[in-house]
Amino acid sequence: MKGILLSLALVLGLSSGIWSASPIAAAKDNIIQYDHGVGG
Amino acid sequence: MGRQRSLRSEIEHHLKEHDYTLSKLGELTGINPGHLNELLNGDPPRVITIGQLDAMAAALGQAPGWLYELYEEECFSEGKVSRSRVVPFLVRCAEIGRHDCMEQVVSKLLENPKNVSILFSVAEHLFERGKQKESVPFYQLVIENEKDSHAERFVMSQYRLFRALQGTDAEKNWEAVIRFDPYRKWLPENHQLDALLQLANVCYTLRRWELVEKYADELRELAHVVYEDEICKRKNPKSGQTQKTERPLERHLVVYYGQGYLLKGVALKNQGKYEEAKRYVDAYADLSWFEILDETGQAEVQKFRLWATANSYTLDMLTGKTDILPDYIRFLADHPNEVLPGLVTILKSANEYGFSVDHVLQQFGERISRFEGQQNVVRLSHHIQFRYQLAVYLLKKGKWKEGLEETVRCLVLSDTMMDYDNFKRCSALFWAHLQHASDQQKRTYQTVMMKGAVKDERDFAFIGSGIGIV
Repeated sequence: MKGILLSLALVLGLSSGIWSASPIAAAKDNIIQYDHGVGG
Repeated sequence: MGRQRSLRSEIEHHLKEHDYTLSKLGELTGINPGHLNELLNGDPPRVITIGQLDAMAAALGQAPGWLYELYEEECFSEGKVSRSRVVPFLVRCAEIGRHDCMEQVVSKLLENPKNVSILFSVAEHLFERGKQKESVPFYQLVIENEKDSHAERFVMSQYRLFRALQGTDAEKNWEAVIRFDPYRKWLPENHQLDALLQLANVCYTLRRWELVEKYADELRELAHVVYEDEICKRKNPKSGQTQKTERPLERHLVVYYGQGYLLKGVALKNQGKYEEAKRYVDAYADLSWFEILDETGQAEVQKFRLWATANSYTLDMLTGKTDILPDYIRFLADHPNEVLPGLVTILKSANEYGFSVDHVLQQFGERISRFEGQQNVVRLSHHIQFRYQLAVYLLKKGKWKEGLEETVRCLVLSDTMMDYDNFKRCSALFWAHLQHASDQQKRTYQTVMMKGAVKDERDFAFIGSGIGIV
């Protein structure tokens, strides 16, 4: 059963088109860090 | 029938086996033979210290920890505990891993709740000797057995535990923050400054910007109070004499003050509040007005000046002022330690505004090759961001092979740090470019995804020869 569910999830993931949107645009900018002096 | 074992009978037995006199043992251990006689044959015999027992073990060719299971008798006499014997004994047990002896003595100590203070002493000795990992169980025992949750040793144990448990596992770091947070304000001021700085730093790596702001605000406020007190004491030396004993700070006071501004600015910037962030950058750009600056303090002020310049470049790049790029590159070339966070900014800006930074990557190629193996949690966190931005940059340029390799690399780093947000981002990036991935890259990706996901990887046998084939 677990196997079937995972298989379905993989197939849906591939075919649903959710990955066809630009992944770069989808990336969450608010999780990026680039700061000088932190931890210093 | 075996003979009855006792500490002294065992030492005597081994002396006979080696055919050593007390003079010979004295020569080998550096203990006066007359004193050795009192230790072994006195009536009653003098107490053997753990250092003396270790010296005898070495002289008789025994391993460290020899006869520790019999040392308990030296620590307790007529139901009373000898603090001066038991503390060094437990410290040694923890150092060499004699947990059996530790458990035996600790359980006897805990029969009297007052002995919690002994366990705290052991923990502090270990912590001060840099044995943070070994100190953890003792601090935990203090926390479990100290009835007063505002007692200084209880609060200190919470703090030490928070510090000792900090590592590269984001989840464990977060758990440690939650556990320690309620006690931070009960700490003495000197430790509170360090605690707030650490809390803000950990929350930075966890991207909890509101919390970074909160701790940075508290840090600035407390550093200001301590600074005012210090100035007041210097102006009226007599007024300070009645106050509590001076407790040393881990860092120069200007570090806490400046970091309070720096971390606040960083938290604001990472929430997109660039104008507000700029005001905080300006506040730590010149701290030379600080009145109590020795040589160390002046060096710290210089560092803040440098970081303010660097973070101003960052804010400029973010707001589209990309014409400053040559200045920023020159700055990074002059300050190699700033290259890692600097390259994240430059790549991010290149990805957003679509310009080429191939020449920058080439210029810092040697430095980039040294980014691997970061152990410091902040540097590791920056390294993950760098790999992700680099992957996006390469993929945008159609360099599929290199881009996907960077993606998987970032995925592995995120997995190591239990950084699920980044793990998900990298995973999404890989899937979006799946059609360009080689079989080898698909297999590597699959291996990373499966790692630790199931107890028995045969459960996934149905997947067949790899992802993308289902």
